[in-house]
Amino acid sequence: MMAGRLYDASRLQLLDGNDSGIVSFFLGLFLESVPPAVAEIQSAYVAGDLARVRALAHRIKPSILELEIRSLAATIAEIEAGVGLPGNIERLCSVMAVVVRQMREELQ
Amino acid sequence: MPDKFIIFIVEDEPFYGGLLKHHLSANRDHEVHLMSTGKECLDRLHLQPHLITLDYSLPDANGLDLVKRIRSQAPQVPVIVVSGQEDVGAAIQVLKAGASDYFVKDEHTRPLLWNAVLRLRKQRSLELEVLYLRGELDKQYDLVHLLKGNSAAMQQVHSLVRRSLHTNINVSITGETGTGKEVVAKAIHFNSARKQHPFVAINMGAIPRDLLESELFGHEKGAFTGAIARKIGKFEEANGGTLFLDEIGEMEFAQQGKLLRALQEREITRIGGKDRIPLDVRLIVATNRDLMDEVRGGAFREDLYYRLIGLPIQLPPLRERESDILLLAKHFLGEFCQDNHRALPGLSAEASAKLLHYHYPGNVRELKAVMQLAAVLCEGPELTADSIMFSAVRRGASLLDEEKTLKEYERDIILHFLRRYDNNVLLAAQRLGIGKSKVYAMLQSREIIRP
Repeated sequence: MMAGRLYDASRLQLLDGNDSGIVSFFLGLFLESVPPAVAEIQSAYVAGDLARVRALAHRIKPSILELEIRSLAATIAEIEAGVGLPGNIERLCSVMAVVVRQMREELQ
Repeated sequence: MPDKFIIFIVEDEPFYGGLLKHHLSANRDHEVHLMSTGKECLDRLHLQPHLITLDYSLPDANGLDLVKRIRSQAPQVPVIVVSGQEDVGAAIQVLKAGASDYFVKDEHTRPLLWNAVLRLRKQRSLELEVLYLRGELDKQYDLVHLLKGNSAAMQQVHSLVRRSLHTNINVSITGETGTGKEVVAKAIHFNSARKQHPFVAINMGAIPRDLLESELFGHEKGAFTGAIARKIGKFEEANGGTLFLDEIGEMEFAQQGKLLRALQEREITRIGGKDRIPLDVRLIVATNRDLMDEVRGGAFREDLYYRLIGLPIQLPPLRERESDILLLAKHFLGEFCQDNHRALPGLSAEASAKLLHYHYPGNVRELKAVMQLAAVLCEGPELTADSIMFSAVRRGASLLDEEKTLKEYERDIILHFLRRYDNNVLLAAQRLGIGKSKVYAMLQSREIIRP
């Protein structure tokens, strides 16, 4: 993992023998799907739809774990279980914002 | 190009689904379809996937319901559920519903999935092989292919065999050695509803008396000295299928009662065991003896005879189906040439005449051996009469093929050894363990004539 990075793409690098194109492709896919789901978690919570909050957390949890965003591993599991709200959602949003920025930097 | 192994990945998270798709697509033989809803998966089942991996929590269905619906629409397709949660209850439910595996999404998921695909591909290739072999077996045991012959006698056999196919009636086949009793038994089995189950054959004359009961009914470990492990008997092995008891006339009187009891009660107990094992076995028996004669002579139980006789099929000796001889000869010649990648020779008029004028004591089996040897000996585009060598085949055949007196057997055996050792009386006598004077005496009295 690069110093200061909140995610680790080394498992992605193993996919195709360090093919940087593949890593970029999957980071792009992550950016397209996970941050919008995080935003939806936030709005679902505001709307009082806890079931939707938990379902969305369940959906993105494997992707967060796959990119080894360790600082969110426990947080996303707790949101999935409906525990520690809204604090965990706030933490998810702020950490994800950093992750998104770092990924965009890597992709440039 | 080999058929593609089609995999459906049903996963609503695009990043994770993309990862799985990329991973499984690494093998060029895989055709991976990624879809995000249960409906999409059900709508595309017509593509006949070989494997479906399913996220347990989909937007439009839960894993359990979807597994059930897939199983009802495509019961043969293996389904692996990949869940974000380690939920033992959910895992048990989906496995009970017919899923072949349940994986939790973690760092091991991709290698687990890869191994599962490898395992399923291997299983599929075995299934395809079984299907192919069953097809071959069906072809091999097709009645017309198997019971060749246009003679009236063979047409009668055909008719009886066809009548036997759709019932479970026992069948008793009689006929001289080499007439094809086991072939007919297999033809009945592999054309009946029992063909997916075992065909088990046992030669009653070849099993030592003391072992017969264990061979037929099996035994439990420790049932007798030497019973070091449980043994499944032939009856149990054939359950659901057909048991062929060849040379039933050789069965000793004392053993016949045990067979009768098993047939009457439709169940067996292994020697030394207590469990009664129900039987669903079709019985086909064969003999070259006249069983009724054996009954009259007191060597065969009358009650067992009536249990076994069922539908009697008498196989004619080849000498009584002269019109089939050339048909069969050409068939065996063609079969041998095809199996051995040889050009198929024609049959000269002299060779045909020679084949037609022989009496075939070894019946169809002998004709087959004669034609195989002829194919090997043939050097031109046509089989000549010289290639048809009955004596060579007879010499190689069992001396016991025909019923003879002991004296006649003795003469045949001594002749056989004289031939083998180039008329060297001393060597032949030494090998036989008899005195040379005996051989000389037989030669002098012209009981045997030097070959």
